[in-house]
Amino acid sequence: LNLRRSSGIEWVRRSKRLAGREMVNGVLAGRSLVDLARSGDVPAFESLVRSRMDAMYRLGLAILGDEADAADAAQMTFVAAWRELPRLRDPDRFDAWLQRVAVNSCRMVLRARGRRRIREIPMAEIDLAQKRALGVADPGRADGEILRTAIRHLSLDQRAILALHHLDDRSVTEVVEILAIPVGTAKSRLFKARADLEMALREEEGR
Amino acid sequence: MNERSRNSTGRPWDDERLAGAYRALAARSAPADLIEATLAARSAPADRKGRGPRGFAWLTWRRPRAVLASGAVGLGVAAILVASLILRPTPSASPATGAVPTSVEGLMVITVSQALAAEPNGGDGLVAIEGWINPMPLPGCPVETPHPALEESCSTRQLVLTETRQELVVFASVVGGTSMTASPPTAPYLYARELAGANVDALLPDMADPTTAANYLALQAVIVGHFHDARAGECSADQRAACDAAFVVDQLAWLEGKSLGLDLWIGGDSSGAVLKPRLTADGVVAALQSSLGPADSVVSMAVVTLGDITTITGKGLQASGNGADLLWFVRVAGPAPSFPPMAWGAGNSGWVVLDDASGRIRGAGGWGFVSGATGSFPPSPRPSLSGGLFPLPTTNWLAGRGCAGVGLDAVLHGSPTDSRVTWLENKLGGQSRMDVLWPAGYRARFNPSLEILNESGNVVAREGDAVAGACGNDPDTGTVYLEPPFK
Repeated sequence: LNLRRSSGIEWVRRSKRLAGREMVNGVLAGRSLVDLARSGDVPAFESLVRSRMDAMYRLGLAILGDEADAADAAQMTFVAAWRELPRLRDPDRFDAWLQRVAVNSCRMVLRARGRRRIREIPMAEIDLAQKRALGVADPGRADGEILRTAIRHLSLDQRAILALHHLDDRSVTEVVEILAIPVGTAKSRLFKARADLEMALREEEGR
Repeated sequence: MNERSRNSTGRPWDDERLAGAYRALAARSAPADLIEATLAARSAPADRKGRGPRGFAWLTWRRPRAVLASGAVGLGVAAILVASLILRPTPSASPATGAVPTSVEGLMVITVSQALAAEPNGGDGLVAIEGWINPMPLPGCPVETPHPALEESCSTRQLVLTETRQELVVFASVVGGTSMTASPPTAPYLYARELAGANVDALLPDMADPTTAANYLALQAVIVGHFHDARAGECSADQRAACDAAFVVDQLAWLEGKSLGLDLWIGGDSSGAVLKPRLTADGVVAALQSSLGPADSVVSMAVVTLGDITTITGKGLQASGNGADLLWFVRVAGPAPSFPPMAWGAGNSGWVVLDDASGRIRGAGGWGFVSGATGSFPPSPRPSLSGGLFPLPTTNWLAGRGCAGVGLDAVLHGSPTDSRVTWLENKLGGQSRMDVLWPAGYRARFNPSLEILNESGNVVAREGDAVAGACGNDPDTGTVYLEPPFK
């Protein structure tokens, strides 16, 4: 079996076919992983961490726009997940549940960021600031960096729904499950978030 | 994607480009040490043990956050800056004496035990309490369902204020990390809640590294705040008493020998959105000057959106207008204002809400004012106001502009013998009679049929008026908030 751990959805879909507790690419696979982890099986949980850490880190990056904050949020996500796993009723929904934990962790990190009163500036931002200071135009500025700056104008709820939809390619139905919000709220939030993001993107790109 | 979304490069930010930008932003793997650090944190002895804000213990393993910053320093670039989220005005002119002041903002400073003794019979007026603050670490919390602001939960931010000096957070080195243990305080003490949208911790000395033991030393302080917050009514029945007795911080007035003065919180809405008000703190004080007396003192300010204002004032406030409008919530100590025209009581403090765009007062409360929104409005079957006027159940939100609000098909009626004077006859089905709440300063007269007068004495509505829209309604009581002109 050649499972793609870099794609969370694909990996989960395929791993559901596996029965029992198999080792795949060094990772325990199958729904049994979640079941085992719920019951306190440490290797199973470690396997879940290894297989999903990158995905949670990337989600954190897309929401927070900061590498250190994203790492903090990812760590916080799995620590909370370990503690709360016994309360997860439906193991099939583990990934949606984990993403909700991740969004909540991002919220906590964002709050803590205000409390710290200082923040670290990503290297790309420093580079950009230097270029601006030197009056160097930057027409080829990467979209990712424009996006990183633009999302700071959005609320966390807006960042989360946009990241789930545009990065993880989640449908509105899936977003509803992950964020535990009504369908109407999800649609209106996504619409407003997209409009606000476009405005921020244009503003950032024009700088 | 319309033309508006095109940018200076001519490329529209369509779904494809946006998805590509997200992939570029997040095209990184987690740091190599993150998995091991996370697994080490998971293996802490406190695993899967419940913990609450009243005493807990857990271990923290942190990756070295300095990695990025040190890289920046290596390039000779300053890699930190003061965040703009928390602004703090210059400390007040009061000289730092080193001794705990006997009064702040015109309020006598009392001890924790004195405050606890007075709380059961007190109102929501401001009190100033001296004691020792114990900064507590922010725990990592699991997913929580939304809960009322004052209810205790894992993520509730609290400050422990003890009467005597106590060191509640203790650090110790253990294999693989640092052990952090927080102990319950010894009485007398109280737990102080932060004002919605603000971080009390941000008012404390630098918390750049929450894993540093020095950040958790007890600090002598005077806190101005209030019990019996209006949001207590939103708590579940089993927590309502605790919510009502919670002490909510309005100002960190004095800390370790220094008078700090006005607290100003900007951009601290619960979701982290950055707010950019037009007015400055000085501008707000100037805008309020004609309404407040010389003995009044501004204790704190917070900038919030209209949509979030009830996170501070409680849901009894029926606010109309654009939810994105920026408002200044200003807590004031001293006599009631001369404006707005509300039936003030005998309270020693209150709050005023100022519109950032117009500089106008849009709402007010405190000073013993009883809002009709709470259902405690005393009915008056006979004119009790001069000029043969009847008081109406009003909210502490001033009339701003008519609002379409929720759809209605109803007719306005009134009777001098009705307990609420006015009501709506609903023609849409369901509940036929709907109780009505009016803006502050509104009154009624019967000439001989019903006439509604606004705060300036102008007739703005009459018996039989069709009402096609209201500004909102209280889902619990069904009471409708009206603000003419009706649309």
